[in-house]
Amino acid sequence: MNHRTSVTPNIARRVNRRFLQRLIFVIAALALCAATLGCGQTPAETQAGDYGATVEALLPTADPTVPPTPTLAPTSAPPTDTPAPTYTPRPRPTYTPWPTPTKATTEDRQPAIPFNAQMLDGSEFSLPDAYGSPTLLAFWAPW
Amino acid sequence: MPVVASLYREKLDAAGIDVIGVSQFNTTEAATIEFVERNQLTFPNVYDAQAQLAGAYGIQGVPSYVFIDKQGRIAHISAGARGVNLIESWLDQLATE
Repeated sequence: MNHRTSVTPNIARRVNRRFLQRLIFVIAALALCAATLGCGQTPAETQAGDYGATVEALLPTADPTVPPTPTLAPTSAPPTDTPAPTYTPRPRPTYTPWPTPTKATTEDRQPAIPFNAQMLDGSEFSLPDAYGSPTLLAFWAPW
Repeated sequence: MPVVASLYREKLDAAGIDVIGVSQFNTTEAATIEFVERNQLTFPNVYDAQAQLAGAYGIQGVPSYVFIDKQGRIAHISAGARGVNLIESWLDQLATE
């Protein structure tokens, strides 16, 4: 008695568990199929179905009263008797080097302006008195 | 100017070539004397306060050099800083003329 009473509930539990597992499996399978198939339309079909009519409405329709727009005819080829322009390279400028600076001849020299000056040391200097030897006038500033 | 000073001490003074320094262009006589002593410019220098010499020779800036030959004629005018070689070359030529 104790044995039966102890076995029967176990069988019932197993049956119920298997039933629940199969039920869950079936439900999951149905849900997967529904999600895969969707509403039975592909994405392209969905776009066409949603916007196809609007796009067609915006497109211009052919009006039989309006003459067709003339198409541009290809331009005629240029006359063959016109000579093609030819490229004539410009002559390259010749390079002329700068003349080498030469010291002017003694005949071209201009006379120096004579002057007398008092030096900082108190002495006197006269340029005409210095004739007979080369003289260098050095202009400078203390900065 | 120190280039001319060293050249004058080493060569020009012994060769009998006159070097006259002309100080001017917005300076004072005191500053000129101080510069001459500090840099040991042994050749004679003049303070051209009114820039009369510079105006007479057409000097526009410093340093400028006027080379005068033995006959008292202007052989060459050099404007701007020049090396000692150019100064020495001109004076050597003028000395041998």
